[in-house]
Amino acid sequence: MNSPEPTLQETSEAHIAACLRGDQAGYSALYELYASGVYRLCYNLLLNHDDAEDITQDAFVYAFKSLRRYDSAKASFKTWLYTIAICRCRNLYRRNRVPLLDISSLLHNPLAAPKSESPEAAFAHRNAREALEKALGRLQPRLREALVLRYGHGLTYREIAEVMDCPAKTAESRVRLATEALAGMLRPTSEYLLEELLSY
Amino acid sequence: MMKTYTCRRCRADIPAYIHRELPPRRRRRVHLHLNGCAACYAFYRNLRDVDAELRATMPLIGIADAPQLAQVWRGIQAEMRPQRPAYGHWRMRYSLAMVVLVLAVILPWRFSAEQVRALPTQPTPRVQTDTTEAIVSHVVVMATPDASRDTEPAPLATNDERAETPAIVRNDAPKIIATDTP
Repeated sequence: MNSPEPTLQETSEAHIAACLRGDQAGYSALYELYASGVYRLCYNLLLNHDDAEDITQDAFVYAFKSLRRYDSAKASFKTWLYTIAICRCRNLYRRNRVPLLDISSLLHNPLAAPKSESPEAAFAHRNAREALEKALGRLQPRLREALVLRYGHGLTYREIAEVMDCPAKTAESRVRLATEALAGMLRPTSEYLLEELLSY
Repeated sequence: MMKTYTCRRCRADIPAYIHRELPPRRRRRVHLHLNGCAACYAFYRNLRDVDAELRATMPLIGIADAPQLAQVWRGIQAEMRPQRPAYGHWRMRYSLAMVVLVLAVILPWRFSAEQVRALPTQPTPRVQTDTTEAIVSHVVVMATPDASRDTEPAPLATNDERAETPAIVRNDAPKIIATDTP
């Protein structure tokens, strides 16, 4: 009988134990597991590639240096890491009240369309992403955080509450308020995109 | 019971209803309300569409490519590496500071010690013996014209004579009579 596949948390704990034993491979394994998620979280909150890279680096360095303080009984490694990243994002947008324009995103589009997608559909999807990014930028930071954690990373309300350090009910209401706000912002775009997609 | 379940409460429950996170009893309540309320049903449909769009689009925003992540990893490695050169640099700085501090304390002390040695000292009292007294009186006699004619100056005692004569007789007790001026 095969043993069940280890969960993400179990794998993480094994890597953490390796790191604490002084095994350098543990760090790179942890990075492989969580880097893309942390980067995406940072980008969704900051909407700037350079800032997202900086914060991802900061968050991992802090997490690696504080691995001894991590308590798996209190939270999963993922939520702990996301909490660190979100704290750093908050510090950054507290410092930069004025939103910065990401020039790199204007110069290249990092998201390539899947090969099966027609150019028209790819265009429509890119428009949808851009509209969503703009709408995210207009949301209040706390609502944006809740929405990103919910839809971008599939966290449960309890996990969102852990990351945002608030009650689960508050997390739920933040997700609801953010969704409602986005519904108001995206409605015209959605209708336009729907019409455009149906026309192809 | 149904009457207390207002549109406001229903709309608050709709996101959890869409995500299937409501307990069965509340879920049934929302379902019944949506069947009977056109406004709330429109709200539900709108929110459901946005939810579907968010689920589809949100995970695609901000996907990092491999070179970006590799660059971040290099940065992490650089920060995690033990900072030996920096530590050595600081140690060197502290060592230099200590040397400067020690020199700053020692050098003025050394200079001041040398200066004290070079300063004029307190003049020591000169002991005048009867030999010097005799020399002085001889010089005085020689300088006086009358005295040089009348009296011959007494010859100076030799060292052998002085040695034989007791100090009391010779009146050899030291007398502090004058001080040198610098």
